[in-house]
Amino acid sequence: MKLVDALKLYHHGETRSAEEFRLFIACSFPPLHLSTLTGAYLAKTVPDRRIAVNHGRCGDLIENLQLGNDAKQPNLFVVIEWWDFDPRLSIRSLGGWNDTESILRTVDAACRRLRQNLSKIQAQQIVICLPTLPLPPLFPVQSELLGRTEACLRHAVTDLIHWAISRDRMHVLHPDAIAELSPMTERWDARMDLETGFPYKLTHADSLARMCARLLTGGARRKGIITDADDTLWHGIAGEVGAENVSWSLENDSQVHGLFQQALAVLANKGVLIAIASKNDREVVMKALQRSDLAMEKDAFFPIEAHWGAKSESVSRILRTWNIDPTSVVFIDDNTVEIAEVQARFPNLECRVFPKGDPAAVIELLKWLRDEFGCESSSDENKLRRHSIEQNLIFEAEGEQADPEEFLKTLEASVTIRVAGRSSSRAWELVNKTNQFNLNGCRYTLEQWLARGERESDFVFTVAYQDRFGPLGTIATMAGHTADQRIYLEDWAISCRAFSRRLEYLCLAFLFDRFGKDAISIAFCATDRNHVAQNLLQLLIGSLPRNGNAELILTSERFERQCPRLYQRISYAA
Amino acid sequence: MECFEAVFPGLTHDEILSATPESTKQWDSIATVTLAAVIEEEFGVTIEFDAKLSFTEILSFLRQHCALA
Repeated sequence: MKLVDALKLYHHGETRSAEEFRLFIACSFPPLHLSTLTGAYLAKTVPDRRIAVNHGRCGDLIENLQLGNDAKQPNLFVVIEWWDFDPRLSIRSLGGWNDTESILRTVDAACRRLRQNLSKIQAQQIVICLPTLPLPPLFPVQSELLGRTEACLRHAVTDLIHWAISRDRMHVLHPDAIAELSPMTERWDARMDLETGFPYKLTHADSLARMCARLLTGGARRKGIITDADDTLWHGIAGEVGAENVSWSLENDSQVHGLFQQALAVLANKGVLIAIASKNDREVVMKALQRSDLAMEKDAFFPIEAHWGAKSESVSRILRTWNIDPTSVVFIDDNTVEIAEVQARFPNLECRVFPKGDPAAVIELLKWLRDEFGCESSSDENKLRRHSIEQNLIFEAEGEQADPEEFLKTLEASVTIRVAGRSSSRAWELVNKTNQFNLNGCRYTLEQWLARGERESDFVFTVAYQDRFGPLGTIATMAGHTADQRIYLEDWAISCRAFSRRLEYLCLAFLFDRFGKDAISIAFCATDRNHVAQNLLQLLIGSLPRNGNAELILTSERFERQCPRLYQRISYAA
Repeated sequence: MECFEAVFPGLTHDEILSATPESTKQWDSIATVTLAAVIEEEFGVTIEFDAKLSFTEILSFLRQHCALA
């Protein structure tokens, strides 16, 4: 982004009348354009918030860290450079470069001090950027040679990285990702450094700003990948050469397909749904998937649509089975005609061509998939998702044939309700990602979500469910507060995997029982997608407003009249 | 003009035409460095960061150093 555009964008972002998104930049130099560019990227990625980027005024990193902490800044961007370990590593200082042992001792002490101070930071998110600039030419060795002192310095930084990445809330900018965007020779502006104290070239500041904004506002990840089989998952047309002769190996010049399988395997392990949409005879595809040299478990694919109908039909069925929105899914196929056919029917589905003849482009595709789907940790619920979708199909099939009341009675359902608190990432995730059963479609940043927990009577409950078909994991959350004779239910989300089990009634019954209040005030807003929540509330309360926010009142008396019989065994975990 | 508008979003067109570091309240040291960086990036020239040039002086500098009409 050019600075002139960043200035305009940031100015626009900081004058919005909306809730603030606050970021504090802690560094020992005046952050100048880094601050503008970071503000601009935030203004772009969080268009519904007013952007406020602040920074400390003094030239000491530790003091600025403390300033950010004292100001209760929710988001911190800590930019560390070599001179923060020892001022002699800056070209602005003339402390002498001869005593390298002393430099090493100072660096060690600075690392310890930095750890101590970073540990005390209360911010909800801390993005750390470790030295990105080249060291000044202080070592009396050829630049091709890595000397002992420099190796020790780099080791100290590596130790700091290891320490930081194992801390909650701390995110370290990846040196390789920085290098991709910003080559080493294009980072340091020595003239600017000497004249103003700001050490970065604009392009380098732009790269760091972009990465920081992306980490802070990472947002919802996608949930599913639909892949073609022939010439995508493997090389060759299985129906022509035979399932035993399709390949994905170096020997057969088809390694990129093996790499694609490996990447899918990693994502499947993180809970990403993977399905196949192939124009093929089903037996042929299944035979290829049985091969022992497949680089991923064949069970990772669900569902498998292999037939001679249109690809868009397959995609449609897969989306119905997964019950997720096309915007959360990526379709990958080597055939541009198939891509166009699917894209025409699902304009909101991200469709990507598998560039089978171009290894570099395949690697780029894998990196893109990692960015779209990957996350550092994966909740148990994500891992359960695929299994529970499969179980749900059996559940629905059995349910259709049985008497509904009898079916529910024999489910052997058990529910665990937990006092989760605002620190439960699953509760936050459910509210932010659920659409069909979501009271009002409100989405929260971590900062907004945690801020609500400061109220004395605030509550957050999560609901975990299991029945004879297996566990569904934590599939519902309720959040709000109580006052006088009312429960104020502000957020309520139930995963679509748990519908048709009367869990919605159980949630409300629990709230009445737990708080002993006369009524629940429900913060409702009709959205394009929360029809399941609308149906329930219509049944319980009557006609609903079509537009805008509304406070619906459900009395305990009315609820008791309407509530059907519940068969779940409930346990409660404080 | 676009560079000045970006650095001093509160100034009107006429105020920019007559803007000098002395007459413009928002023109502090940070604004000077920002303005220099914006002009350098836009026009590919080098400007001294401590040079306190008015709008007309900058315009004339750019006319001399690059093909600015």
